[in-house]
Amino acid sequence: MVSNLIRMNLAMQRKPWSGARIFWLSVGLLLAAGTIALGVTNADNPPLAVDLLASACAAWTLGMALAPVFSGGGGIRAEHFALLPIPPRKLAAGLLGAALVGVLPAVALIAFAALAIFGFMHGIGPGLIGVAVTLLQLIVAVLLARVVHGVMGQAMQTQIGMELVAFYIALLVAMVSVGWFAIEPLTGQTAEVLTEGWPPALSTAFRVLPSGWGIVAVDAAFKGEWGLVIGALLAFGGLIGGLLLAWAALLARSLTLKPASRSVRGSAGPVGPALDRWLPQNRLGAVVARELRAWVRDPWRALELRIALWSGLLMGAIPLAAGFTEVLPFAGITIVIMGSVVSGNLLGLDGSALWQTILTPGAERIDIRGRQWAWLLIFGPVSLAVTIVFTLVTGHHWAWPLVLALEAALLGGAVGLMVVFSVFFPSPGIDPRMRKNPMDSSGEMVTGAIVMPWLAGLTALPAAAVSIMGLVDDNLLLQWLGVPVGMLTGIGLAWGLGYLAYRRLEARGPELLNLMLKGATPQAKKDAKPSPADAAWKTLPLGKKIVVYVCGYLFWLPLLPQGLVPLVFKLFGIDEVKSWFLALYLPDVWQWPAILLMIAIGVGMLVLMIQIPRQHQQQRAAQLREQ
Amino acid sequence: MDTRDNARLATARNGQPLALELIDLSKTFGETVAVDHINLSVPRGSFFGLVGPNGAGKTTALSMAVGLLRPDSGRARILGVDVWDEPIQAKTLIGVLPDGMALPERLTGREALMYLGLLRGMDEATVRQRAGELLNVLELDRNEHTLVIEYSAGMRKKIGLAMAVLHNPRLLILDEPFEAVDPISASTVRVILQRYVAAGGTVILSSHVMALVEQICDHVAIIARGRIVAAGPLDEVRGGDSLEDRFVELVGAQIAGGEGLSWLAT
Repeated sequence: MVSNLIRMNLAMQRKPWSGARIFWLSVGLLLAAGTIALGVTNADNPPLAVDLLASACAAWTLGMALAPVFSGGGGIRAEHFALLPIPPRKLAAGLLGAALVGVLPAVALIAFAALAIFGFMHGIGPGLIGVAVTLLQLIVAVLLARVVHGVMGQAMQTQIGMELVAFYIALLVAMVSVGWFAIEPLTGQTAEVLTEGWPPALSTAFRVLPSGWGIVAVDAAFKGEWGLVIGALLAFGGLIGGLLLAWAALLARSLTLKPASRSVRGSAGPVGPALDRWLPQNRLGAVVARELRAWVRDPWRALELRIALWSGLLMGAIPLAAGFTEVLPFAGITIVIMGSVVSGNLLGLDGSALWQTILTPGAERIDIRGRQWAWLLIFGPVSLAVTIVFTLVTGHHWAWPLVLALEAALLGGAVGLMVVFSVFFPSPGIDPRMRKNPMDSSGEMVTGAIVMPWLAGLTALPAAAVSIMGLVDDNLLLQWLGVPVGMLTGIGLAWGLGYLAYRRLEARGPELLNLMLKGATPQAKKDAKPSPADAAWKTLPLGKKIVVYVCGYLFWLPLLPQGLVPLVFKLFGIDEVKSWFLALYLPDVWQWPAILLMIAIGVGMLVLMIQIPRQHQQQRAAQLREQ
Repeated sequence: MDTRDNARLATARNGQPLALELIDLSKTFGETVAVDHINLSVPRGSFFGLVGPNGAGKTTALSMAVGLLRPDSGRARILGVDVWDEPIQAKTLIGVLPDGMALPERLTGREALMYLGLLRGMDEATVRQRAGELLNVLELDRNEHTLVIEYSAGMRKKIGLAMAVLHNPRLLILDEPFEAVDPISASTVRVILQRYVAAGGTVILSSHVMALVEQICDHVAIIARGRIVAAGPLDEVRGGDSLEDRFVELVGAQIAGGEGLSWLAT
């Protein structure tokens, strides 16, 4: 049965190797190579290597536990077997086999192979133990991911469970973003970890966690402590058995789930008839009401909404651990940014329900504008309240003009970007009418989640620039001028990007619907007539594709934070803040050349990103003409 | 006679445009030709049945007719209005029930009707009154607090039908409207549709249940492998036989199931 499930899973997830996938695969492989390097380069200092590998394995295990949440639902699901007489334990074992075969597990296997490599560097015995624990570590990670996903699904059945799941995911997101604020006071200098290892408490913690058992076993084999080796292997066995049982129990329950929905609490509910009383009963009001109800009643959207709120708050709060209160006034702004991240796939969420918008005369514009208003009604008041309260409480009154300018600019920018992303880059997931498990998501959102915050940040650049200039010059008028500038760019972007979105929806409605109905299957891609540019892209050699993607994803790095931002700092003579602006650490003579070089690199990457495909397209057109 | 000539004749005969006119419509998915240059004329005021085996191209043809799927070639006209040239005008004339598509899943039936009515620009009082009547007639008013996603398959068809007729369109295009609907509701739906046709509306429905089409439709078209193999008034098409016999004859299918399967229930 296992081999059948593996084949079925692979067949269901078969999709073309898009550039984005290749990019993420390259990132994963680089990280895996980095993990191996941690062990290899520190082989002569085993305690340090064990420290680093134990924490790296913890990071991999944690990352894999989050993967099913964000990668969308394309593969095999327990529900597919609801009617087959397979006992849950057997099904769990079969699904485990299927879950172990895939791209992500393959990359993780390379990373975990660091244990085997480290082992062989110290002898055959530790090496063989290393091979065993490499596999065990991967199985634990995959199983843990499935169990976490299942537990979340179960928890999502209740209100309190959903809040906890949201808080948990938000905490992870916040830790990934600003966690170093909290870790630094714990560890002293972060930079020293690579040479001296973790402080004793953390070091022990990483070894005691299941993700550390593998490297502990290898280390013990090297030291000849075979009792500990056997203990670790037994512990692995027990843990895997326990996780399998837990997963089987979760599967048995999830097969009998009712459709995922939060109950309608009639007139008492917050989105019952009361909503109709204060919303205008017209075309726009109808869409706003539909959207607000979806944000409350659709478990996945309710979860995303909470993740945005919590992670925004936590990103402001975590730096408090290090005594930074300066970040807190900006918590409301991070809520806006996170709100745009979770809303970048609204069409994907509604799936084939798009047909109604297409068939209602002139509804495309109303639909987009209604989605924008509903989003503003949710995120506007909350983020503004958080901004005001936290700025008041922390007493950072200097920040008022800046945070208000950012708030105005970002609300507009985010509400524009989210509809553009939703219409131009929709990622169909499980069609809403089929979503049974509350953790059934709406398609892949990794790329959007990485790109969106930066784009949203860009939309606030003019307002921020004016306000910061005012702060630098101590010019109160200039500081406050940022607020109207923010409102102006905000309104302009919300309107203009919304316009782009609904014009696109009007022009490409049937194609978008087709995508929603068929999902991102190879067939749907084949059906869509590729433009000459797309056709040329397909024949672009892989190496060039990778160059284009790396340039496309990373050009902002030299251009903005390493180029334009230090340029502004130099112009205004700010020299207290150096942060991670490389140029500002250089001797004075070299600062200007370094800044210009960075800008040149950024612009060069942009040019490469545009020119490589264009050149190839021209060459291809020429070839086609000759034939 | 070629169906295209048939169409021109129908337009000329009564001097007013056809309810639906498909001209040389085709669609290919990858290697599969789903709809192969079909021509079809649906006279106004007719109760038109589109029948065909599974995968014959019924849904694809209807999707292209209403503007949900862009054809590779050909035109579709609704009451003389080209669906792809003047989409807004065409879409005001039709009510559509597609098969296998999502609805506003997180709304209750009443909320969904209010939403769609208001989105169509109808005034609140009219929508409220019509929604109430439709929910009552289709017996959906007993599930006032149930969201559409929790509806059974039959209830989904019924709320879909209510949404299709809410704005009182001139032409109804219904994909498998009776599938999964219980017999009592099916009778209700039939009566509603027959009254609608009697009052001057036009209904086009697709089905693979021959007996049903034979009972309620006055015109019929048989579609197989992406082509229209027969079309016209019901009696002309079946030519003395039952529709089912004629269908099997035209589609050229063999009734399987008499041989093999010896292991079943032994």
